[in-house]
Amino acid sequence: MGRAGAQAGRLGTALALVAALGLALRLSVPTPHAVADAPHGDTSIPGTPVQVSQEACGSGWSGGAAGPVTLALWNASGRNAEAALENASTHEYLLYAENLGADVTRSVTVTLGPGSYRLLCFVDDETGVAGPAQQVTGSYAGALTPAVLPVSTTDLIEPLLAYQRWISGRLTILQNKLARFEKRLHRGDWERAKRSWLATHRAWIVLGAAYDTFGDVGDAIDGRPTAGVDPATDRSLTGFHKIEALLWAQGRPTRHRMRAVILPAVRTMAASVTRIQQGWGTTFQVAPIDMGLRTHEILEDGLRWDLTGRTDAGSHTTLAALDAEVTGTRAVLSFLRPLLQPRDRDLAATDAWLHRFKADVDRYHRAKHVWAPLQDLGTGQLERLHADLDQTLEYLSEIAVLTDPEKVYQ
Amino acid sequence: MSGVSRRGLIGGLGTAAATAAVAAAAPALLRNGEGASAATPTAPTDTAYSFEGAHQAGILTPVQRCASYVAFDVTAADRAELVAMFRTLTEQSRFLMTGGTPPDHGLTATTADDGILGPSVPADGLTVTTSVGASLFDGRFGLGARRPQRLVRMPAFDDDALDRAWCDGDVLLQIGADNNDTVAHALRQIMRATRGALQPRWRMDGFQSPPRPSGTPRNLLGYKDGTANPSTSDEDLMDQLVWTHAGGGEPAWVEGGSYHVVRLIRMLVEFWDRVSVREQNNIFGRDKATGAPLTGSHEKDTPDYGDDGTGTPLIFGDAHIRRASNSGNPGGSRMLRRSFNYDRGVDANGNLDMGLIFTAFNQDLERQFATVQRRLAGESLVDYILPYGGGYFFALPGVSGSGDWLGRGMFA
Repeated sequence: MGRAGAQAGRLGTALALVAALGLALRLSVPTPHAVADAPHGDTSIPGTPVQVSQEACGSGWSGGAAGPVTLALWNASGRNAEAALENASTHEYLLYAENLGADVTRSVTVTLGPGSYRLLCFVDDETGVAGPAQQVTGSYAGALTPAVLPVSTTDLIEPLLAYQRWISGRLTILQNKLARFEKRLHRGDWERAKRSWLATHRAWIVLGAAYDTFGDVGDAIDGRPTAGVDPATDRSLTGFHKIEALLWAQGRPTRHRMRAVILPAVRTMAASVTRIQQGWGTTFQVAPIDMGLRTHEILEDGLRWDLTGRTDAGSHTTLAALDAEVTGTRAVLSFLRPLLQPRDRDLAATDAWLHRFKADVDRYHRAKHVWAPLQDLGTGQLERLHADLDQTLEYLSEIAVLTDPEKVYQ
Repeated sequence: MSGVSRRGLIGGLGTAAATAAVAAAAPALLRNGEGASAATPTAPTDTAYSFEGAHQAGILTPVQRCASYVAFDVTAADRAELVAMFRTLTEQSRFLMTGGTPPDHGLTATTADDGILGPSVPADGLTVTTSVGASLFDGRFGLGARRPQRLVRMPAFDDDALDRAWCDGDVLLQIGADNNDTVAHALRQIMRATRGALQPRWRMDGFQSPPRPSGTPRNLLGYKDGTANPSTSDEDLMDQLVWTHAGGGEPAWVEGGSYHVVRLIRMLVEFWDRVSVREQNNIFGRDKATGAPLTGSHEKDTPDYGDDGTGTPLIFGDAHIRRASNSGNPGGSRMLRRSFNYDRGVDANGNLDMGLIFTAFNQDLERQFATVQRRLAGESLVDYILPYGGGYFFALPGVSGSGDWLGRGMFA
């Protein structure tokens, strides 16, 4: 999944959050503009020409009949700008045009029902302005563009802080499990050490570090085995899957091997977790947009790497990992829930499918630390797991769209 | 919408209507006598087949250039979810075959359409034909009593080497279109809309070759394939050979459907290319260059299976067309073939993996396909082909109106 671009974007959003926290956004009331000069822009772009600017936001569109409306948004501000079409009564958004460069004309289409609508313009370094409300009248038999309340960066602050606090707590739990894991290795208790590996790995997975919040430190902790390379001898592999390969290698490892080879690898990993704990909230932080992305990306990783068997370095605990990924997903979801309740019409269906997928995974949970190997599942069983996860992901992916931060007019 | 420009109006109509208008403009230009030197239309012509009708499209429809066959296992939890899947499949197929602007999710979800065909979806000769396999009528959905009488799991015939991972399925989609991107788009959209209810079991993509140089298109053994097909414009004949009818043991809902046979047949082309054309002609009973039977001059000449009193017929006893021919069986073993070639890379030994997606529509599996297939047992061609996949399916009756949906009769 090519998320490199998204990463850069998220860094930008993180900076925006800092700005939002530091500045009290003051939004001005627009002066009624008497723009006689017709808005233009690139006239080859289809749609009613509408201006995006500080002075004449929305000029060029005057409402009309319900149905499909195509606007040619022209950024006349001379700077980068964003624009939203808002239902003036409910303040729900119907479209949001991002990254409108100076003098760019972009065609956008929405299907409007009767009501009062206005364009909001957000020119870089300016307070947001609202264009005059325009009336759309009559009725339209076809499907309308659904409207939804925007989520602002400010709206995301509280869930974000709560999630970060939750992660802090989970990091402590992870450290405790690592300490127990170390003791068991030190004692040479192989069976218990293997159980500890699984418990510790699951404690890591629920952090939802799916997408590089922890950067290189995260890779050192949970780097994935390379296809076709023996994970036990792969010098570039460290962390959980290296330790897994060593613990589950043929035959019981000697007490010496556990102390001299495996234990140091666990200690290195514990040190990495300590680095994360120390830098949590400063070096390592979750960007506002990440919360929404996480809600599907944790399980996207599950689909791509776990359910394909790619992350199994010998323990055959893929299903236990998927189960922990559901837990991690539910955690993110729980912090976003207040924002989703008035916005996500599929929230109940999302919960139901997540429940269905987890129940399906848990069918193979035999005892406390015992899960059926993925390899033992038949075609029909795998098809069901895939179907449930695929459908769950379709619903979860909506959340990233619904919580993608947008500028709001206040 | 006051003060809207003409340009703006067209933009606002970026829908099926606009697409149709552009498509219609091309022939109109020619009709108006503005010769070939007139401005070339920028949009390609767009063929749309009707989604609704007594029968599904993709059966009598002229064979498109591109196709994908995908068999699915149903993962729906119960009958209600299965019904919902068929309704969704109907809705998707209807939209995709008609074309137009996809629904707008606004800021509430990811886009409804993947966009690979541009903002307005052309019909592009698309047909989505939905068929069901015998396994759908097991105990899972309470459909046991509704099974079309002749629908069974495809048996292994003599000379078959079936790999069951490449056979059968609860539901088969046969997707055809004028271009590959349209086939890929339809499959992607349908699979996305039915994720929780359908999981793919096997898939084979195919293509139809253009006439080389004329007549019936050729298969990858170089022979014209489908010459003896019955005429799809002969409604009475189609009623006897293709469409299933209620009664005589068949449940009422099968009226207007058809038994859909798919056979994945690999052609061992390296070996085949080391065989002389004279021998190849004898294996088929036709002339490779013209497609004419060995007893004729033109492709459409009727083969003569007699021996002209010499004791040795020109078309050998184990020749493909003699074995497949209907001449000894006036009871009607003819079927409607609608096959595609396939070409999908190389096998582990470096041999080309190509062949035929044999497709046939039948009123009666036993009377038609199975009878012919048994006659082919031991034909000379078996050394050069390997039938390994496919299955028996039942193409559902057509959708009769905007409130109807595929498979409704099964659940009634």
